[in-house]
Amino acid sequence: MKLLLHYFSMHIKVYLEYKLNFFLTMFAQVLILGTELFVVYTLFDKFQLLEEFNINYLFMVFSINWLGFSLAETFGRGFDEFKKLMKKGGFDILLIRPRNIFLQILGNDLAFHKIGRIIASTYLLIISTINLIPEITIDKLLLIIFMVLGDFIIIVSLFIIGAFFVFFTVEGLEFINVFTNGTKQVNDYPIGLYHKAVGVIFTFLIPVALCNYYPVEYLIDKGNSFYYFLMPLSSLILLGISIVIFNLGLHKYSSTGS
Amino acid sequence: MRGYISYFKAELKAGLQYKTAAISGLTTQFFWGIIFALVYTSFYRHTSIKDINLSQLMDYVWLNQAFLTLIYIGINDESIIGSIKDGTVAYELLRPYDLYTWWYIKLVAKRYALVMLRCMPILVFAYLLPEPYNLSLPFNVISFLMFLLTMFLGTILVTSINMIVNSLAFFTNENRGISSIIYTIADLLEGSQIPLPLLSGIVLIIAFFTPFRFIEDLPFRLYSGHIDYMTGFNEIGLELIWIIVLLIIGRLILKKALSKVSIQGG
Repeated sequence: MKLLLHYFSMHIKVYLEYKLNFFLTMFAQVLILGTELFVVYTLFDKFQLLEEFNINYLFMVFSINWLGFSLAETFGRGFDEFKKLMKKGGFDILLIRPRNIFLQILGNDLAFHKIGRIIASTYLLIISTINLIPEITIDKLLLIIFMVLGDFIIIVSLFIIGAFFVFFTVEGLEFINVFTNGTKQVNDYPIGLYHKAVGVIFTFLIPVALCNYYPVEYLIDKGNSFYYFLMPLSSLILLGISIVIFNLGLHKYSSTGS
Repeated sequence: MRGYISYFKAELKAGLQYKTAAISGLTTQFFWGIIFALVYTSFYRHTSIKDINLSQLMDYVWLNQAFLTLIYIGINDESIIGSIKDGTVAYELLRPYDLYTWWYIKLVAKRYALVMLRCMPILVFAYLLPEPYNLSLPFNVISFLMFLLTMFLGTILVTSINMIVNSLAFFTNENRGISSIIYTIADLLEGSQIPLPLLSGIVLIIAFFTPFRFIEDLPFRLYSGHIDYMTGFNEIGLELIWIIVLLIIGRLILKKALSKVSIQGG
């Protein structure tokens, strides 16, 4: 953990060397979030669904989804950009070092310019939570943190699975991004809006709905079962699977260099 | 003139080599099309609106995915910015050709090469999908011809915007921040994020008075018959004016930039 923090602090220093461009890129990142939020709002407004779906509820689902995703993009970039590491032969250097390989890959890169999205979605999450649940309790707060972490773990797991393919193709497969970006895109909207089949995919295959959709019922007092707290833990199953898959690739791997 | 044509052909040929990337790219487009189709059909299941019907909206979604590489504003050639940054632009200036036209051809050729490898499978796939998720046939022959014409003009327009943004790199050196801001806004106003008929209020007004909507909104709505011919003709006239204005602005910026460039080294 100390190692990881050290890695990250080094990356932050690098980013801050180019200040103007850093802030402009950060602004652009927030702008992307802003336009997507605008699109969500516009659609619900246009189709007159704002009575059925409370706006704070929509923004809460949206911001949990984005916060988890942005955290994953920022801190999971080592796996997201694994093909770059692989192509340059940097992966072989990491393998020689006597440290955990997962930590090293994670620490290898950090998308610090995405921090704008983290700040913006955290802000949105706080505002929508205050409006939706004025009397928040410790257990609800804890559940929200669980939900964000669950989303974060799911996206990182998808990055790791994507990195697994790099072992075989080196180039990486662009369309793997569809699973991470697409998951985020679909979950900008409450899953209940979609056809049932979509709900099944995002409950059992990529369990994001268990992190940012169903547990909201507990938050707005629609249910008070203890099971809501277990739902975000499903992300750990996906993480486990992704680590096993990645290790399989690692065993098959025999350097790209000479 | 012949030089420009053969350069276009050469660039097009070079672009057509990237077949594996195209397969990966079009798979990506399939998935995105499906995601957008799912989102919009979900909304129409709840309520229906009079601004645009579901079938016209699906045409919009699938045409957007099929022709994404032709009209998406973020498609650029890294080598242009790269040559400005590292100074190899000096070599380009030695050529007995006009630099603006030269780069312009490079960008257009890239767009055509990308789209030629991608659009057909996506179109066929989208036609074969079950209703209501599918792409329909064009509204009629005239609207299809107008669609083709406006797609062509849209490519010219979007490239002239790219040229302006690229030329700015002469002044700022690192323009990734600025260009991603411009492209994000343009993406919304041209209808990539959400079809323009679904917008309302101030954003719709801004979209109406900026050139971005001609890039894809106009051709896609002509295709599905959402815009009638008469309006279409007026829009094309307006688009031509925009194209001329943007071409002139781009040329002026590049001229200004080049007058300040001093080339060093031996």
